[in-house]
Amino acid sequence: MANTLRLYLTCIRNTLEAAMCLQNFPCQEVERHNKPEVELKTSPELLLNPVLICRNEAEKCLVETSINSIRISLKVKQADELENILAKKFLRFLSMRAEAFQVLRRKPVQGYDISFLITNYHCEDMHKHKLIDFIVQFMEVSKGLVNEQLTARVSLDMFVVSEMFILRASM
Amino acid sequence: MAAQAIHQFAECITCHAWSPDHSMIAFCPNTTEVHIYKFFTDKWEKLHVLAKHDQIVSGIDWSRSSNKIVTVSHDRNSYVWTQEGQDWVPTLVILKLNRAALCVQWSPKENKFAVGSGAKSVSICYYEQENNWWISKVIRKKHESSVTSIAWHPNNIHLATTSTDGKCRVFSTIIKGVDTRGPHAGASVDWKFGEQIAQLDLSPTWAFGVRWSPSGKTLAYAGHSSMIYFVDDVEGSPAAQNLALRDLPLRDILFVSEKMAIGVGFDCNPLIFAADETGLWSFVRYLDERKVTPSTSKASQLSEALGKLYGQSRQGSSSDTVEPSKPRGGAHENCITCIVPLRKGSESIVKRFSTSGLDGKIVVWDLENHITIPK
Amino acid sequence: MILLQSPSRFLLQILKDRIVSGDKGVDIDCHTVEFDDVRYHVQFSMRNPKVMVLSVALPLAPPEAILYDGLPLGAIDAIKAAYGAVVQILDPPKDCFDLTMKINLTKLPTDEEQRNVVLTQIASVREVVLGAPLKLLLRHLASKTVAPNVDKLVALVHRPNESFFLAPQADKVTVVYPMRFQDSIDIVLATSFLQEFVEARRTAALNNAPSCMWSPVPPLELKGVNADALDANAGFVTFVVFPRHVEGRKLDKTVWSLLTFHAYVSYHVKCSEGFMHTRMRRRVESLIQALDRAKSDAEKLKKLVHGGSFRRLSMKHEGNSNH
Repeated sequence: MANTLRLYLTCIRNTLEAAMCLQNFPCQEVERHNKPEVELKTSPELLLNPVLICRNEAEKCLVETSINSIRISLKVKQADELENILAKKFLRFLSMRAEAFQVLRRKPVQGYDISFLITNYHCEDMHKHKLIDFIVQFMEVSKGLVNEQLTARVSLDMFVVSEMFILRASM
Repeated sequence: MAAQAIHQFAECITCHAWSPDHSMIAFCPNTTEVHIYKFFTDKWEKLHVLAKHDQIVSGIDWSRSSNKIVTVSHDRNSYVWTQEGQDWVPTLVILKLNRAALCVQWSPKENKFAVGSGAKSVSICYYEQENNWWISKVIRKKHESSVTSIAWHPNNIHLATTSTDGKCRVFSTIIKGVDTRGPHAGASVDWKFGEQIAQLDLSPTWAFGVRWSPSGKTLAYAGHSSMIYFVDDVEGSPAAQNLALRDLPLRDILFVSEKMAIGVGFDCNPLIFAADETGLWSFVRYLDERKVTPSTSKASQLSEALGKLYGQSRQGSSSDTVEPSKPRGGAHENCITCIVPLRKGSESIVKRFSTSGLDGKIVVWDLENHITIPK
Repeated sequence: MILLQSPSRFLLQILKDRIVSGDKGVDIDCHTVEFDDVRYHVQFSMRNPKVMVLSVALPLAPPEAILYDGLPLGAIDAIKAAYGAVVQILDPPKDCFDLTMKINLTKLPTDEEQRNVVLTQIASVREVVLGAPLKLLLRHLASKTVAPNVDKLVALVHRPNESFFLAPQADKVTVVYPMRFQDSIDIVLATSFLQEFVEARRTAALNNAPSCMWSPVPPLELKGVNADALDANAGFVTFVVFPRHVEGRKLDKTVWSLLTFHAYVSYHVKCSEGFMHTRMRRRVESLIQALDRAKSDAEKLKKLVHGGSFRRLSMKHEGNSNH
């Protein structure tokens, strides 16, 4: 199980290394404007082939690149109801803090759980390799490496609590 | 160490140019201004601020003989700056553009300059003595997307352009009254202004950084799918060599001699290319020794990713480990966007050059003691 | 605190404070709610310092749970037995309440320790009143008999409009809880939690604990019960209680545990949610920090730029800056 996750994340990391070669590019369609081309999509020659990386049917990552911006969308599948709820809560926490997470897109792209929008300006301000590290770290967190620990911990607590309840009656 | 001097001028630098004697440097710190610094004894001091543009300055060129600075900006304007005493006086040039200007270069004779723009056109500007102003003639045809870079052929007439439509083109910029018939004329006399002499469709994606070799026999440009193209005899029967780069794409190129070129870009480390006796170009090595060389497996993984983005099949194999992205290491910490030669006198070989990038640094490189430059 | 305790700390504190205050004191008129289903109202006036009035509002009884004069079976007897002369039941109870008791403060024992025992007992009024029918049935179990005139399946009030069911037999009493939660997250967490009960029971097997089962559908014991009462979005929990679980002092503990089962589960579900929220918030903060670290270098540079220092690397071309 862990192996496929590693492969998946490595593939995403390499794709981002290649795709995150952005530059400042003024809009061709509207004078004096400078907008993320991956969102506007006004000039098709400024867009590259979107790359879809699938771990399985329910987990995938879409990387859409343009000359000055890149959009990364993630679809995350949870193992059970509990993890599903945790993931939803987590994503809600994040979207409320979208301001702090400059690279987070307010609304995920249709069909995905969360999307990032990275522009050339982010690449000017931040180190590219650290940005990529951040995205991959984010994926590990939201996938559930942490969630598994979280639900395991919660399950253990519940177990202990149940035991005490039952034992009370026998003491 | 090949990097002779590193200086942090700003958080981010768009482009830069040197004064004729290399004592001053002009650059755009990713703002609407151009800053000119002069080196005094042991440190750089800001001498002038050229503030006329109201959007980012995308191109600066400083002419060696006439000592004029030309700047172009995303605000569609261009200014020619002339030094009068202690000040730099701007002259507005009407480019007749309705989109951003992206690049600028003085012609070898410095009587013209060319501006590539987002209006999918190129403006050729020349000085009209009678009216004391710069006039622009626009090449509107052929380009299907923004013109990202331009390069003058030594004959002062042919201009090569690259565009985000992936093609490299050569045009004639002959202007009556400006370009006289001389020993250079020859075949170029038959071409009218704005006529396309050649078109190269070698790159599947955006093209940048076009340059002519010192003699004009070879043309080089970069493709965003991590390729560099060397083309001989463009005007006659073009013979192209496509070189695939190991890592990330280039943004700009410089010919240091007829047989050696330097490419700079997203690898944050200059790449050295050289041609052998038969004229075959190949990658030599990275210039900065401080770079952490990626393993071959990583390089091939990158290759595979690049292939998907640009729709080409490149060989690659996957690996099991997720290595954290390594910082590129070396003099530059972020993408290098501009490379400028530092020529001594009339030498045709460039022994020193400078690079500027998104990390806000300007690095001066010295090739003299680090590599033999084939002529 | 993992296990819920019987005496209401709120009531106990008010009672104790009143005793301690003595002649000095203020009028008291307090309302409180316990476990989201029982309301208390405590009144005291300096004009009548010998008396405190305590009113209790019980959860709304569902149709299948039968009440006698608004109180569970055996409640009045239980009150009399527990409090004796200290407490007098007022009839009718105050408006909107099911029980009003007048506590005669002068009848409290003078000895502090004994008095605290009585006050604690008064603060446990919930267990006394709501637990009366349950205690009745389990007391019979302790003596391995069945209470007379009792149905095969008894429905007792558990929460507002919800009941739990008992099937009393001579050798065991089966207790079934249909579990309901309103919040969708609570439902999922509670379901996980309740399934842990079964796991926990397996390991506690050696300790003679009551057996415990969980099922998503109504168990056989509930055959014939009205469909509304069987609507449970977090499944059904079944405990089987044996005589050894209700011997002597264990009776009270078992009664209290069974009485407040939903409150227990609810409380721990909320604790788990709180825990997960904290962890998630911390994760989000650490991600924001990771992003800030990616920026920090650029911010630090702002201070360097205006310095104008020049870093030379090669000493070969000394003084060659002017080329």
